[in-house]
Amino acid sequence: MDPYDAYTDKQLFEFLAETRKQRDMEQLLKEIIKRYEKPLATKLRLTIPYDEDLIDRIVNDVFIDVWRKRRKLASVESPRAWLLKVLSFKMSDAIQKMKGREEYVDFTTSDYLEIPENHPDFDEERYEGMVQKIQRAVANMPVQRRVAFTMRVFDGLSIAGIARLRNLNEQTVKNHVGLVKQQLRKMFRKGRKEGCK
Amino acid sequence: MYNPTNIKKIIRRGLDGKMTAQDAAILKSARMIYEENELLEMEMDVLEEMAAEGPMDVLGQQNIDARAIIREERKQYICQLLTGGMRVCAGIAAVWLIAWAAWAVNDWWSERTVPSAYEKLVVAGSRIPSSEFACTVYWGNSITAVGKESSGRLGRFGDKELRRRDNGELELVQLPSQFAISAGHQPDIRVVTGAQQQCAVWLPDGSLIRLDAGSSLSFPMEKRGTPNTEISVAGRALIRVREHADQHPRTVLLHTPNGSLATQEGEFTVLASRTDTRVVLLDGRVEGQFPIDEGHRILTNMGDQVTYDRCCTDAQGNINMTLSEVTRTDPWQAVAWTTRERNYRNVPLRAFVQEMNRTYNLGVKSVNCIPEEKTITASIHFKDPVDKIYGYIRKAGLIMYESNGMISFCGPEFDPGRIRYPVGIDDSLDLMDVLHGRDLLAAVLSNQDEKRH
Repeated sequence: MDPYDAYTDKQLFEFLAETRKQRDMEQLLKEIIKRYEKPLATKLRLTIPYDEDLIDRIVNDVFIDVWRKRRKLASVESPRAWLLKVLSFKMSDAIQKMKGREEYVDFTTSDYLEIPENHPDFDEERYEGMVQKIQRAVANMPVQRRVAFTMRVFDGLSIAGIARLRNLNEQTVKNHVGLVKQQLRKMFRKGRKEGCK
Repeated sequence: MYNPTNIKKIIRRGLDGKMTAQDAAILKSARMIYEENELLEMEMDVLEEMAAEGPMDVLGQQNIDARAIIREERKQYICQLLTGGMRVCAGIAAVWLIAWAAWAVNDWWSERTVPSAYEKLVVAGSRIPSSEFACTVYWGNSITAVGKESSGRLGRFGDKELRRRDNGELELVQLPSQFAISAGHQPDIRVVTGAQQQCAVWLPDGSLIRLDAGSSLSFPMEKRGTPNTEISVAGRALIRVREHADQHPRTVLLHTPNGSLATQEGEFTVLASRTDTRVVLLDGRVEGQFPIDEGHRILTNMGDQVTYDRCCTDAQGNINMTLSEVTRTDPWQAVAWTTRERNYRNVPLRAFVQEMNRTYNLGVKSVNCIPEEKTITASIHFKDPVDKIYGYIRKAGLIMYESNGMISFCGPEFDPGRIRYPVGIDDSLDLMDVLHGRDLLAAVLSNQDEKRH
């Protein structure tokens, strides 16, 4: 059995950042590759099904990045999300390099996961209804939280920007926004259950 | 609706390309409730599920080798280092090149824009335009006549090329060493100006020599083992030597028929004939060495002048040589010959005739017969014909006698073979005892001629 099987993703990243033993580092990288090679390749295969070599190259590049940045991996909060972000960057790089070639197909416009509003039949009315629902739910929350959430989500301000404007600590703003989101999730889950009843 | 399971289903449909319009609206609004990382984690969960259940045989086993990744990263790192190093080197080279170019442009610009002492002294409008310059360049058996219309490359002398700049000045350019002729003695390059000609020559070291009419410049082809530039000048010239940025300062040595002048940075005029040398400093510092005891002089201020005169032979056959102390003079007078219009107001007639003799090559034998006290007032344009000069000289009361293309102010020449004994003088007497003065002899000759006819 692999000694790192029991490690969580976060632990794997932290250990890779801290260890100085080449053998351990290799083992950790091997474990990360084992866990994520297939999901990452799956995503690529769904997006660019026509170029197997390109897929291999992009996945390789992701893990090369992991190895190169191994000393900073301890600060990564969500390794899985981070890997997907790296994959996205590597895909963009690959597209830039592929541009001008015949086989290049711009798949970014059909990637509705990243930009849902690109969907040709995007239901604007339904979306507006959902937003209003969220706004109504937020309206009943404490002022500090409500303001922080509104500024962050609806006005698109950064956490640092809100902290500066509201004269608050950044962590406090983060907490306010996080709590609102948590409450909203609870509310909508509860609402669904009530709806089911 | 915003249940993680539901969101994952939407993500799955999105990955499969089956996302509906409603899904898109829910996913977009879900971003208000979930953090980006949370949505990405959900996506990763979906991808893991798909990878696990998928019939993609190619994904059945691990393809990527961790060691290969490490090797590849190392390779990329080294490539980056090399590329970075090359960029740094290229950057340093570019900076060096730019600095060098800036220095060269600055040097070139200052050479052309920072006015020299002469340029401050004589405004451009009153100078003889350099487009009028003409001269003849000799090198060994080759003769290159440079006229007003000459332009561009005029000739190549060994490893030096003669060009005429657009402004009319000549330029001796040092060619690369492969043009050098190693065998045999290399003759000097001689630049000679004739009557009513002037010429300016830039030497390879950046020095500028401007020659007046009837002057010559000799520039040696061979390096004589020193980094110094050695040139010879006869006649009248304006010399400008700029200081070099070299680590070791270079000296320009100027030889005249009587003595030599040395400068590292200086601007001065020199009037050098067979018998005398006069130097007037315009700028910088010039050291002169003349063939006389204590013959060293240093000129440091504008208008400093020194004159060396080798004149006359005394009864014992000794040559009299005099070297003045450093005196002050009007520097403008020293460069008046470079102007379009020369105005002479009550100047000694001897000096005027000497000057015109140099400019127009009149062929004056000697000015000793011109009375010293006579003066002249005249205005001469650099394009005036020689007849105008003759007119001025006659107007000043001088009678010119021409013989064999030479002009004398000492009366008609006589041929000793034609001397006849005057009437009434015994043939046995020595004529030298009875004849006194040239006029008397001329009268005797004319008398005899009359008698014979």
